[in-house]
Amino acid sequence: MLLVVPAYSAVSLYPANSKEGYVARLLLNEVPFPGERGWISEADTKAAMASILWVLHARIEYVPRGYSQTELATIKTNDILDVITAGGIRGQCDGFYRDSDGNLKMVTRIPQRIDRLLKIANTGSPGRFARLMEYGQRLTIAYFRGGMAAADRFVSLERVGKVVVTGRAYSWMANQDFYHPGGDYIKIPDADGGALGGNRFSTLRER
Amino acid sequence: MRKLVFTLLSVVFSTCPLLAQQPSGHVMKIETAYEVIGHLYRWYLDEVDVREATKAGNETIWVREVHPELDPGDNSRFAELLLPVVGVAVTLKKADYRIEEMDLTVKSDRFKIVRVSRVDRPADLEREWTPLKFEGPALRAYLFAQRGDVSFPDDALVERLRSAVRTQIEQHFEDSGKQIPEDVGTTHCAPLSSVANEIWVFWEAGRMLIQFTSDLNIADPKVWDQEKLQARIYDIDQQVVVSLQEVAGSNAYLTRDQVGRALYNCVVLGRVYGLARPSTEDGE
Repeated sequence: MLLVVPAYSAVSLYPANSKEGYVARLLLNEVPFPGERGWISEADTKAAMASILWVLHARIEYVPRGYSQTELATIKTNDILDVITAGGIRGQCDGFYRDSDGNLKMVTRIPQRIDRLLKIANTGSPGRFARLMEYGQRLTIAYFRGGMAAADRFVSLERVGKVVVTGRAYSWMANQDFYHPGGDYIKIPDADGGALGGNRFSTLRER
Repeated sequence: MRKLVFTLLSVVFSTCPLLAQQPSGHVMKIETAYEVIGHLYRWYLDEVDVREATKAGNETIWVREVHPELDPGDNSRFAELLLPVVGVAVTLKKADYRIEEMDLTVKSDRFKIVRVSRVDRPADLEREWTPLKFEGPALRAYLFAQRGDVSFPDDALVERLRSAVRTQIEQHFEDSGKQIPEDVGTTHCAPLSSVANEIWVFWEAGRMLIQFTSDLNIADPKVWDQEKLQARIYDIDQQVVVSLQEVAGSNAYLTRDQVGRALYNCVVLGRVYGLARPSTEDGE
């Protein structure tokens, strides 16, 4: 029997209201694609997605000694979805929130951008857009199956300049590199790979 | 006005031996460095910074080319410019790559700012960076001359911008569950920067700041036609803090300092544009 296999499968994401789909959309929303400001390379954007997922995970599983989870995530929880939506629409992750019934929501611009990226990803033969979309989705699928598909590149960080730090990243911000990230957050410098996907990652001062 | 500034700049260069002696092999022209500092002057620096930067003994800008790992076929170049006396570093990119999926070439004819950071003086400054000398009075003269220099989008870009702003406003109302008013009023658009692919707009009635950015030249129709435009909208009643200390860990806020600068650029230096559709437009 002749088996007909399509040249490639269309890229798709889990539904936005599923945990895998919701977290994937956050990762994809926070990083640049080709043509967008902050774009460097496929590897850089992938590294940014993985590092964002590690930040969220670290706010649950790796709260450093001397800190409380509430201090880092404004909430006490074991659920990554709570970490993302903490603080509402203008909370920890801008535009990601739960409505009054507890449903996972995001502001309109986010699904619109994701849909646009998906459309490009599914144009012609699969290229960088497709690989990046698939990577974001794969990261979250692996996460909810109990694994991380990429290593935490900041886990061993011990010092930033003269400041002793906890290791790992605990926040990321875009367009704010000129300002202090606040609290005991310490910006991870370029020399330690702290700028990824147009974002600056921050670790914490050791207490 | 832009011509006037460049005329002044060329006079400054021709009459200043230090500026004229730009070492060969520099990653960027000193004119570009000056324009970058002009952008910083308008969007980032304070009185104290300008005082330090133009003080005797501080007449060096440091530059270097950096080489992040790029995708195959990507010929983009990256550079950094450093003002160590004020602790400011600027990352710049001269884009040159293809987006095959969109049959689009992203190519810039000059370096454009992608990031501005506060940094400590690097330990490897003399070893890794190349000095660009200038004279304090010349820099002060340039900054003074360009402080009111403005250029604005042409009619075609204004129309694209108007449409993009309207889209942002419609989405804002959709998210808030409120009815969009018949008349959404006017916007104040900041002057275009020659060294940054971004536009800031203040929507007065909604008290929102909207930032549009791209890796392409913002005036390039492809940015708008092919939607290679990122937009962020900030509610200045809700998303402004004095210090990010107040909202540590969140990525949703601007500082009052940032907003103050954006409003100065949009309202004081900027131009007012109506948001009505062209057929009912009374004019700008």
